[in-house]
Amino acid sequence: MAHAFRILRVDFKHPLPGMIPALFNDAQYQTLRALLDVSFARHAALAGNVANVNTPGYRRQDASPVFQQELTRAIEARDVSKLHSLVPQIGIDSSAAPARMDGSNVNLEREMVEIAKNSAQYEVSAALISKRYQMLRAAITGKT
Amino acid sequence: MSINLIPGIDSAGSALSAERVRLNVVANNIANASTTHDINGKVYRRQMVVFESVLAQQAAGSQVSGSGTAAGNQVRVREIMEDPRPSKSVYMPGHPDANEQGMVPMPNVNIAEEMVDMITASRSIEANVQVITTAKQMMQRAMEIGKR
Repeated sequence: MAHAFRILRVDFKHPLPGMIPALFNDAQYQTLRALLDVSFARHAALAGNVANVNTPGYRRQDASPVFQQELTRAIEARDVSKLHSLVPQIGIDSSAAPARMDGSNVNLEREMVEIAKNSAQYEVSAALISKRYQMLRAAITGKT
Repeated sequence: MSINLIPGIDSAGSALSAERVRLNVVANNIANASTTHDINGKVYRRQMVVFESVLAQQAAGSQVSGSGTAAGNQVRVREIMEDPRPSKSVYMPGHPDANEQGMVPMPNVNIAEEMVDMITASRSIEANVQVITTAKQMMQRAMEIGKR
């Protein structure tokens, strides 16, 4: 039985051989995919912040600065394998403004603005990935 | 842990139920603002809700394999405690709860404070509903990837 499950695990570092990986292994596609992952994880973190807006002593969370730097570096270097292996890291935001009287440093306005920005980024990434698939389909079928 | 398709919906949902508890407590306080004789025969004391945050992993009750980072923190009501502030007394001789001096202890409920709590809770509910709406839109966009 153990073997049956092992087959289901796909090692994304070494995806399918042949031509298909070439279509999805370029830096642009992997950047968009990574950005989708980050936006998804960040929305969960920001939702946690809004949920705890009235919780005394709560510290706001966001994508960890180390992860943000790694992502920026990988995007700038167009490092496909690095983009592939990056997993969004969420942590306590140490750069946030000092705490309120009750020890919580959540600012509802700021969180809502971040959520709006983040979801816009998600939609842009999703739309661009969609366009890539449309182009691919057009190239395969010759129809638009 | 199930696969999370809609980011942050558990956090926002936990906040909605926690804020609902707070609204209930506020309603209870306002309703009992003049209750001098509760079920224990004592003067009513203002109730306060204490929130605490819960890690999503804790809420699921087990260790999450993999990254476990994509789930936001949840919130829950830790306890509903009595407000320890002293209550004021009013001179009302002849009142069944009056003492020998004719003073009746009144609840330590301040209506203005309760209204502020109510507005805070209702604004917080609005913000969390907005978060859920945004999350649903994001999932909608993900479903549209690859569509013409």
